[in-house]
Amino acid sequence: MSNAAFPHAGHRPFLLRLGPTGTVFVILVPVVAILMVAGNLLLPPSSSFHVPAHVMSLVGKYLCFALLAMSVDLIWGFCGILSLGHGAFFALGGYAMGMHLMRQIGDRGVYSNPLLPDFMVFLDWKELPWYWHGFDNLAFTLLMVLLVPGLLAFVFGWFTFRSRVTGVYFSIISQAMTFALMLAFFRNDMGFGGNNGMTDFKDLLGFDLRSDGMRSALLFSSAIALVAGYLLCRRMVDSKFGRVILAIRDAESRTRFLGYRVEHYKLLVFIVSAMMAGAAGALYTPQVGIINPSEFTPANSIEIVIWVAVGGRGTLVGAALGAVMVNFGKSWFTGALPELWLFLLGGLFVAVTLFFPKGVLGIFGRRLTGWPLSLGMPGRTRPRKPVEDATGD
Amino acid sequence: MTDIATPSARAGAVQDAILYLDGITVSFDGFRALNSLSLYLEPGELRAVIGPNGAGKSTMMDVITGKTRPDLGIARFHGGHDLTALDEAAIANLGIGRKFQKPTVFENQTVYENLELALKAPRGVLAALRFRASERQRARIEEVLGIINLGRQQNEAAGGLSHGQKQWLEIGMLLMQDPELLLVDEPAAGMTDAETMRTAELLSEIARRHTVVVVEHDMEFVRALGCRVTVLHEGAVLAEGSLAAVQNNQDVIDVYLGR
Repeated sequence: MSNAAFPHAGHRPFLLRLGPTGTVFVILVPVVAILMVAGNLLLPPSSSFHVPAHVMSLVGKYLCFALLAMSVDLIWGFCGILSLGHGAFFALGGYAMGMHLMRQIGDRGVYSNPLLPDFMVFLDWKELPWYWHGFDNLAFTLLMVLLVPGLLAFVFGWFTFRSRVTGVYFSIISQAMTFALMLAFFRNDMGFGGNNGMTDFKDLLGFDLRSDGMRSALLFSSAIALVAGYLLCRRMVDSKFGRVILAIRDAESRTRFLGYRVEHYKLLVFIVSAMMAGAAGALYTPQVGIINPSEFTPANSIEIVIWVAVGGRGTLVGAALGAVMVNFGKSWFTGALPELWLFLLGGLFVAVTLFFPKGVLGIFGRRLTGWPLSLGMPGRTRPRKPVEDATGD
Repeated sequence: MTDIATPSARAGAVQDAILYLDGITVSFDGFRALNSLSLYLEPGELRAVIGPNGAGKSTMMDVITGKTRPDLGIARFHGGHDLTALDEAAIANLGIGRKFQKPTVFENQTVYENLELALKAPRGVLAALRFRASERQRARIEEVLGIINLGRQQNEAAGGLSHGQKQWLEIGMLLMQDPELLLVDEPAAGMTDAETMRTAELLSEIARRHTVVVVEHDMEFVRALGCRVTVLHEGAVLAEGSLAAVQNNQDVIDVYLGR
């Protein structure tokens, strides 16, 4: 919702404050999730409305990607920080959850070791590394799912933002970060399962991961996490904080001369975004049943940016939509025409950048509702060029 | 040139001056943009700084606002604050506001939002998350909208304003910041004559309650301000005094006005 239309939006009722797109999103996502859960659990497999298990996992995965895309949109669309390493935060959240699931296996592994995961027995390790302690506890694991990506974002952001590393330089360093982590996680002696990663998960909270009930619970949790992530982002971007990060995106040094500590704002938004990505990764691991170092590949992180661009940068809902659409396309094309998919993805990115800079939501949104949908992205009447260098001589 | 020779006189100037620059030297790759520049401003003063291109006007502004660190020299605000040791945000929060030569407003945000961003309020992250404009703050924004004559455009994106309106919006943002010292870089550049005169009125009005430094090329504009003038040349002060006095100064005529 544009603040231009409602300069004092703070006084409006909650749903009205979200605007039509936000309201539809906040209602539609849980409703679809509930319908799918009902279709999976209540209808017999013979019914044509029965939702099969593999569809449940697939949609659950899309919802995780949607949350991940939203986290990238928060920093890129609103604060202009183009992170090409956000897959790293997603993977770290996924690994934290994977460690919990490994500990849940207990003595049901191939080697029946009650304490050590199979890959450690295979490497002839005698005891659990110190950093594996605590992950048998779900509450501790969930804390780590947020803290580990958050801490990495804090350290990484602290050094880059304070040194005023911006633009393409930041993007390249973020690529290097995820690449370095990928190499590290490939190593067996890191204690995270090397190139095989972690898999053969059995259960979570005592419930079989392959059961319909568990799949339904995970899908519904992913939907709730997506809506919660959306509301958190809206809380941030609708406040004055949101206007400051837009100001940073459009004219960083001007914002400094107004007395705002740009690095503090960037740091907070980067940490929140990394935590969202971590949460998405934690929900992803149990639904796909595996986590391995390929999640750290730089290409993965670039793909996230494509989802956001396709859906509509700076719209949040568009980012989620783009993630679902592109991944649906990927699922379909890699089945039907696998060799064409990467060309199609690349072509899509070029086409969107050239012809639809506001993404899918930008094309259809305004026409359907007549309301401005983008949250702070330049509209047609507004100049598109940032004024970064205009503060010089 | 203002010559503050004796140590005791210098100490007095440090104490009284709102802004005190002494022996500021800035070199870029061997080129001396500022060459032992000294300048001091009394509280409440309106001062025009003129000089040919490359005289160091913008570099001086950069030093005062923390964008550029001088190689040598003292820069103090209110006697105590060492401007050479602080960054842009800290200096802005001390009460030094700056208007750039090219109007730099936040183009994708509305006029109202631009003013709200500049509004004097805590600049911290948490304060921004919790911020709600009070009745008084909103009234102040409305008041400034009236002063800069942009009331009707308050909900329009600032990027859609005309050049002159952007300049006024930026002056409005300075008013919202309510700094003690305002640095204004070529406010009349690219304006029509009527807009220029209106801008001069606006600045004179602001100068009644603030200390203002105006960098300007336009002599008519400087005349309209009717204030003390400092002439910069090759990074140092060439002359200082009333406009009439500096216009009759032989050095100034030689290097600048007479060309």
